[in-house]
Amino acid sequence: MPPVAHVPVAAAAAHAALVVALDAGDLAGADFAAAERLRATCPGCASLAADLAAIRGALVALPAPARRRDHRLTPEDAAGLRPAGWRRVLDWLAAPRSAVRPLATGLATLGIVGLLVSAGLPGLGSAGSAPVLSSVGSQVEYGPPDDSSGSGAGGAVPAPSPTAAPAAGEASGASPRPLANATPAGPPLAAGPSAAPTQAGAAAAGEASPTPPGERSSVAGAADDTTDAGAAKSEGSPGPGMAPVAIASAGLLAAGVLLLLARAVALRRAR
Amino acid sequence: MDDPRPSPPGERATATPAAADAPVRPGDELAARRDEALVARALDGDLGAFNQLVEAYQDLCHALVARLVPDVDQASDAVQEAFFSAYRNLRSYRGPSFRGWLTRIAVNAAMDLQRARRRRPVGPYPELEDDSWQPPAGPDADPEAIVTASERGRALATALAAIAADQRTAIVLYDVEGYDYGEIAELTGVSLGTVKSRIHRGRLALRAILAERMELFHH
Repeated sequence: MPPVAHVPVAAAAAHAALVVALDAGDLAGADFAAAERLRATCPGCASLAADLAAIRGALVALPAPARRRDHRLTPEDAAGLRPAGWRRVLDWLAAPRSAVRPLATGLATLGIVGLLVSAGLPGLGSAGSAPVLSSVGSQVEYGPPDDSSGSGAGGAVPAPSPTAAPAAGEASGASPRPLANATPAGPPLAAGPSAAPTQAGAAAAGEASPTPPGERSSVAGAADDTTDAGAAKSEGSPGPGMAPVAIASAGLLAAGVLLLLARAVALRRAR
Repeated sequence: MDDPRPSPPGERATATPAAADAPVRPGDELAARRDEALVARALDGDLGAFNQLVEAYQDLCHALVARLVPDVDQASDAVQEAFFSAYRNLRSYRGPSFRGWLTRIAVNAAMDLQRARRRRPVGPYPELEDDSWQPPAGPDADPEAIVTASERGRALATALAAIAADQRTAIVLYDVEGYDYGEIAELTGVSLGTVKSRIHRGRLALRAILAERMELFHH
C-alpha cells in the first residue's frame, strides 16, 4: 500500500487525536462512532490509522539488541554491595520477616503493664496494695453497719470504730482504697476533729471506741496524722521498692516505641 | 502488515499477557516458586542463588532496558546497576513476583539513566550503525524479507530513539513488553491518563518520523 500523507485540515490535530485513540482501543460511545466515521470518510485519517496499526505491529516484532555482558555478581561485587553499619541496621529493621515488630510490641506491652503495676492500679495485683484491698474488702463485706451517727453522707465520720470507716466510705460512695491511701495532711483530716482517721491510724492510736467530736486533742490528732502517713506510705502508694520497677517499665516502653518508630522510618526509606 | 494484537475498544487495557487478572500459567507459577526459594537462599548469603536469578532474568532485563535506553553500553550499565540494586535491597522484597519487582528496578534504572542522558546526550543506538547487526530471522525466511525486516527494525529503533524519553518508555512497555496501562502507571509513577496520553503522542511522533519510510511497514 503506498504511503498517503495525512492532509492537514483545520481539524487535523483533533482528527489525529481521535484516530490514535481509536487505534489504541481507548474510545467508546460517541467518540468511537465519530472516529470510525472519520476513518471511513477522510483519506488522511484512514492513512493515519493504517500507519499506526503497521507501526504497532512492527513494535511488537522489534528485535532486542543482543546482550553483551554477563551480569552475574562476583564475590567482590557482593562484598562491596553488602550493607554495612547503619544501613545494615536499617535493613534489619525493614526486613519483612524480621522479629523487630513483635519484639517492639512485646517490649512496649511489658512496659505498659509494668507501669500500671508500679502505679498500683486496682485489680492488677500490686504487691503494695493487695493486702490493703483484701483486708478492707473483708470488712466492707462482713462488718456490721454500726454507723450509729448516720452521718456517712457527708463523708465526715466522727471517730470510727475499725469497721466504721469502711462502712462510711461505702455509704458515701467512695471506694475503700482512697480512704486507705488518704493523705494525712489532706483537707478531711486537717479540717478538724470530726475528720475520720483511717483504720490503721485509729488502731495505732489505741482508740477502741469512737471519740465524740470535739474531744480529740490536737496532740492526739497529730499522732494520728503521723501514723496515718506511715500507714499510707507502707500500704498504698508506690513505695521506694516500686521505683526501679517503674523506671524499668518506662525504659521498656520507650525501647518498644523507639523500635516501632525506627522500623517505620526504615520501611519508608526502603520504599 | 496484519495487526498482531487486535483490540476491541475498552478491552485493550486488560488484554495484555502481563495484566494483573490474567490467568497464571503453570510455568509462571513454577518460576515464581523457584524465585521465592532462590530469594530465600540469597537472603541467607548464598551468592550462587542470587546469580541463578540473574541468569534467569538478565536477558529479559537487557531486552527491556536496551529498548528504553538508546545506547547499548549505557543499557548494559543500567542492567548491571539494576542487579546491584536488587542485591542491595533484596531484604525489602516482599513478593509476590520477583520478576515484577526486578522489572520495576530495571525500568527505574533505565529512567534514571535517561534523565542523566538528557543532561549529557550521546549518539542513539550505536549498534545500529554497525552493518553486521541483523535482527533474528527464521531459517526459511527469504533474503528480501530479511533485508526489509532489518531495515524496518533499524528505522523503528532510530525513530524510537528520537522521540521523548517518557513517550518511548510508555510505548516500549505497552507495545513491546505487553504491560497494560495500570501496570505502566505503577511502574513509571504517573497517572493512567498520562500513560495513555504519552502512548498516543508517542505513536503520532513515531508516525511523523517514519512518514517517509512507511513502505517498509506496509510491505
